[in-house]
Amino acid sequence: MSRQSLAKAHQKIQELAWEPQYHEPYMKYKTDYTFRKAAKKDPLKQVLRSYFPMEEEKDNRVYGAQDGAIRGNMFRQVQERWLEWQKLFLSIIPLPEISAARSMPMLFHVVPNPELHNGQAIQMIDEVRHSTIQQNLKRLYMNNYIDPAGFNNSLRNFQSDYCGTIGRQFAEGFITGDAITAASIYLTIVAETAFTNTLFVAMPAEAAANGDYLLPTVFHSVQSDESRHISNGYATLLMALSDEDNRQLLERDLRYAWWNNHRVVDAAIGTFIEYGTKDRRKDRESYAEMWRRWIYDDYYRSYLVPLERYGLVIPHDLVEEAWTQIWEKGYVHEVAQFFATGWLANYWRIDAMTDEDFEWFEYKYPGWYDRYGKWWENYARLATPNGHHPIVAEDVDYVYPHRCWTCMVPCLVREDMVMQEVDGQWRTYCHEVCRWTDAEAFRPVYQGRETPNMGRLVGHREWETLYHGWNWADVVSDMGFVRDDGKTMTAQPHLDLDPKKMWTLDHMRRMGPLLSPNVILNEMTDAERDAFKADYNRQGPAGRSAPSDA
Amino acid sequence: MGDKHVVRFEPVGIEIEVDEDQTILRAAAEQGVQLMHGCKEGQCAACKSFVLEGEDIELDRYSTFALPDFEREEGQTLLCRAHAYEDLVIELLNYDEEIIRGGLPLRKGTVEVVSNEPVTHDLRHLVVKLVEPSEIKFFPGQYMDFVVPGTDETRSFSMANTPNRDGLFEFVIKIYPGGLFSEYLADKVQVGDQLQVEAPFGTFTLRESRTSDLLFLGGGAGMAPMLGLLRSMAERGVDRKATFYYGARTQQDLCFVGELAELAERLSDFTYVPALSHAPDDDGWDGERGLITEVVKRRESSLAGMDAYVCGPPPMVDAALATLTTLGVKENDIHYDKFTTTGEPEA
Amino acid sequence: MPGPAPWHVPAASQNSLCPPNGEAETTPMTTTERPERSVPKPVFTDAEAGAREFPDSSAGARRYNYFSPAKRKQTHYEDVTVEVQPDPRHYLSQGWIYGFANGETGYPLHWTKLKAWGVDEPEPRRGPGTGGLHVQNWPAHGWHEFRDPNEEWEQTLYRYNANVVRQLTQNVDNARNSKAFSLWASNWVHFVERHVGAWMHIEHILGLYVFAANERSGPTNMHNTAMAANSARKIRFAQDLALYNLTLTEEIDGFDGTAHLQAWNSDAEWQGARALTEALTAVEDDWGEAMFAANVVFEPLVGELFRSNLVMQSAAPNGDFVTPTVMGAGENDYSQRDLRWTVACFAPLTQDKEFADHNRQLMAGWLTKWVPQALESARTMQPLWSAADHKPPRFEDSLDRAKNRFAGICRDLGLDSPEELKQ
Repeated sequence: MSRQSLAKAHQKIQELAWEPQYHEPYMKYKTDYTFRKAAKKDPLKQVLRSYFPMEEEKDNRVYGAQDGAIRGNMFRQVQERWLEWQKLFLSIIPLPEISAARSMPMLFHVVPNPELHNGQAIQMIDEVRHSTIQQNLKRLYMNNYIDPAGFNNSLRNFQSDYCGTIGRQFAEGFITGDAITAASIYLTIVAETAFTNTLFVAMPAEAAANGDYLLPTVFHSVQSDESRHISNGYATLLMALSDEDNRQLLERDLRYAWWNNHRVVDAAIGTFIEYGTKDRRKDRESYAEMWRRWIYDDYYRSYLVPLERYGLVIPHDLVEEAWTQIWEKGYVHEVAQFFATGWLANYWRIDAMTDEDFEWFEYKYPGWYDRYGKWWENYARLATPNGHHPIVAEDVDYVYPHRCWTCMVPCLVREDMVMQEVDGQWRTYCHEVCRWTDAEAFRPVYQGRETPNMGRLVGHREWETLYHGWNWADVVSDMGFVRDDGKTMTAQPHLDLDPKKMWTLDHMRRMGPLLSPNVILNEMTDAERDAFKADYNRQGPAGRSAPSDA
Repeated sequence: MGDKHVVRFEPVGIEIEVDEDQTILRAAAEQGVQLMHGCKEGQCAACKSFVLEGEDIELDRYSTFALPDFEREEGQTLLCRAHAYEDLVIELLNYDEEIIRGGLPLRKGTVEVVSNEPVTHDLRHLVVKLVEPSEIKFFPGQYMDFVVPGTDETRSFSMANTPNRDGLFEFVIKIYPGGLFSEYLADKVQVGDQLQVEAPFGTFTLRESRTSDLLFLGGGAGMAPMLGLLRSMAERGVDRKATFYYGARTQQDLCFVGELAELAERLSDFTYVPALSHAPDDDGWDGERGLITEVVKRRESSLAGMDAYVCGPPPMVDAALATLTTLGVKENDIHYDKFTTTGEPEA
Repeated sequence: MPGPAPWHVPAASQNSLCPPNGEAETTPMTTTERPERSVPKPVFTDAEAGAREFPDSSAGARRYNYFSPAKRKQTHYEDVTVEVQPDPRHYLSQGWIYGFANGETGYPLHWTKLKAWGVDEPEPRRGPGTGGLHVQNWPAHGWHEFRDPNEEWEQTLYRYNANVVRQLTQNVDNARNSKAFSLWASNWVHFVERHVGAWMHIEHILGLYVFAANERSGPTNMHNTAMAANSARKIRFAQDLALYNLTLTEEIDGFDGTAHLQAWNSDAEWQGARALTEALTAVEDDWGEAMFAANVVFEPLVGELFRSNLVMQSAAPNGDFVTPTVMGAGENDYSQRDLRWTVACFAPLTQDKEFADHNRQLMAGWLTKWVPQALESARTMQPLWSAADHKPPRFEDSLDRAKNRFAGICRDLGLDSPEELKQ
């Protein structure tokens, strides 16, 4: 279709806009935001007549590339270190995609602007596409990569694993609670525009450097649909901003969404990119460098800050704080170390770091070796079973962390951990902002204002609770992270597939029971709890126990 | 640094200069033009646009999912990856006009008074020239804040002219007793005086994507932004039908009569309707009489579908809003900037 | 305040990305001493399937093993769809982690009054030391047995719709080139501008505010994906009609491209269908009822009545060979796709091993509620049958055909045709 006729076509389909005459549509989803009917234009002109052939053509190229990868024996040069992390990533990401699809009708219900509903409906179809294209990529990995374990039971794993649960915020957060908080601010304004759009750009490049050129193909094709989603987010935000009563809620939601995205996405993508790669060229950008460029410069400074003049209160302090966490407090390194500590509760294999890795980390993050080097040397030393326990049960000066009730990543920057008794239960939080999120933001009253539609944080948010007192072998088999011989574990702390070097349930059985930090916290007396917190805050970095001299 | 080329964006009519070494998106951002974009890596397609004129463009590495070959051949491009090697005209496919215009960087600066001529008994035509920085960009119809010399107070005045390379800014300011800036303007100011300013502010700008007829309604120093918009339309050959209702008390309150007549020649379909509210019966005035809003009501039966721009003393603005909505202008299509001062009451 | 970015890329590596008009080196260098390009080095890893033997390396381990396929062999559609939307009655051991203000979480099964076997069984109660309590006998309830017979996922969805778009574009282009529109009787031109035009609104409202609007509510990913795909077809068809209308405006002198709005907003013939369409968007909190009322009742009694039994039958005698291809695309959407998934979704519920009676009664109630409304809006449209010069079959004959079709659908669903059909 020519451009001119496209513009005319787009104009024509606006005649379809519906003004109810006999029955108002049922409004299932609710928001505390208020919207005036407004003729905000759909900024992106999209007509389905050109949309379907365009997507079909993209699909054909994706599937052509997949054929090519198989024909070219791509997996002979894929780095296992990298592909193992895809067992986690690709188990998580299809749910966020369909959740984004589900969130679009929530916006129809609350945003009174028929012109935007078209764009939202197309986004819904895009998201269905993304979910299935990703399930399909994972299927291809399962069929062609050396180790299918972890891919073949992917969605079961995802649904019962703590990492999967952390990732689920990035799905349930889009579709539950206040419709605008969820589907607009959390999903389109922060998650899609800042974090996925920018950092998912980094993943394909890293995949290619590790011999995998299918992930770039699939994710570039996914990424090329984002333009619509970014426009949708923008248009809704501008409508929300036009009513001054919304500003307090926008400020709340931007703080929550920004911080939660930082906690979750930086943890996951940061680990994949820094610890999942074999590419240690010094001029390869580190995650911190990418973050500075894409999140800080591009998203924060060039997308968010200009909105300040429309009355949006930008969480400047939290942007700076997130950077401090990444650059000074080693957030990504602490998370990767924790993932590796807890390898046995997962469903992928985690490679040890080598001297070449150490050199790169030290170059990119001066002081890295002093903090994390020794621990990773211990990790390598304890990698294959040889009469010892997995690293979590060995003395390597690492204190097993408590879990953050809000973001569900453990409280790894120990000095920042805070506690509060909320809903009759003592909870630990990794940071004051996560405490605020649970104790203040997700409540029916916020700063004295009624917020009857705000969501709640629910569920068994600390996974260890479910297995309190269990033997580790039973934990692992209950979760299903066992290979088809019935005893070898899916997860391994190394990449050697020699069955003699692999950990089995028998090795797990020799360990002490798994105890839930939260159950224990709630059994403490007040004095014990205070002492626990004082000690915890003095721990670290790298999970070291508190110095005994003070 | 490479050579520079002019890139013009349609349908918003904004021009920027782009160095060959920069991407067009980057150059736009540096010059305060906020274009819709996402990844800036040539992957998300949010900045995809259509090249109307010119073809010498080089693209940095990009994803062919974001810009397949057939679209590139059709003339589409990705602004975040595109370098211009000649002057270009680019049609934006994905943009929000308000945001594009909101994007000009706010700058503080120093200006020097060039002239300060009376155009009526109580209106001054103030012209200043920028000393530093070398440029403050604005869109016709926007306004500037002046620090009143010797105080911490600022006063806002709309530009009456269009952006120009000489760094000149023109204003129409009403002098009345007791006004902080008025008194300074009336009694103290000398050519060559320096003033501290900050600009640009306001959204009293033409919505370029629209083709509907235009109605301007002004009074007093509300002349200034109207002149800015009309001059800009004439310079750019915008051929939308336009009517300018201007309210004044008596004939001696009318100004820029010659220029408005000249604009009527240059614009394809422009009518200027001055109306006097306090003209003596015997002064030979053969034009409209009465409050300007009453005149509009008399002359227009329906204004449905039109875009209206209103600027004047607050009571006139209030009356105008009521009149215009009654005559069928949609609320969203009435533009008035609550900060666009007319120079009236400063207190 | 963060310090300045604490990294410095060595100057030697900065030329890894050449500007488009990359210049020659400024430092004199011999041609053999060009600095090495900084690129990742491929490594032979032999990480290919079958390269080694170890637990889980066999071919049998290369299938998604977390769900039971409907047939012996799992399909591609199942692989990319099943279990993506989790269920606490299966593996979701930590439960849903966000709740609505009223305490509801995830995808509550009571978002329809229909019931599938197993839904009254309590959810596993998990807590300290209980373990994951994964449900072993899967599926835990009947909803998970649903498979869309259209197997809608990315590839099938885009292929189907792209094909429709291409066919239509070609048909309309051919008609334009052969001046086929000039053969139309003048009354027929008005019929198309008003009444074929008015139909686009119905498709649009159903697509956005019935199908897409309920796509958050279904109990499994299979249901919600089917609703999304149905919505996509409806919205496409609405736009097909709008753009066809635009083409006709350009091709036929005197064709009024806005007449469809007048018809839709004020023609008496359309107000019954409009009221019913709007009522479908107002179904309260029951995705099942909304789907049922739209695809089981509205479509055969009003949709097919208008599309097939009026427009498709009248066009040819009035010299129009093009409109039937446009209408036919939408008709095909319904009869080949929308109805198929709907029957596959609802028919098992009337035979449910636990709730067959409950579901049959519920659906009978829906029929009682919706069939009279559908018949009334059909009758309101009756004058359209005499709007063109060359008359279609009699209205009563058309309606009988629609009723027969509807009765057939009821039989496929295991339901008795309602008394009201005799009206």
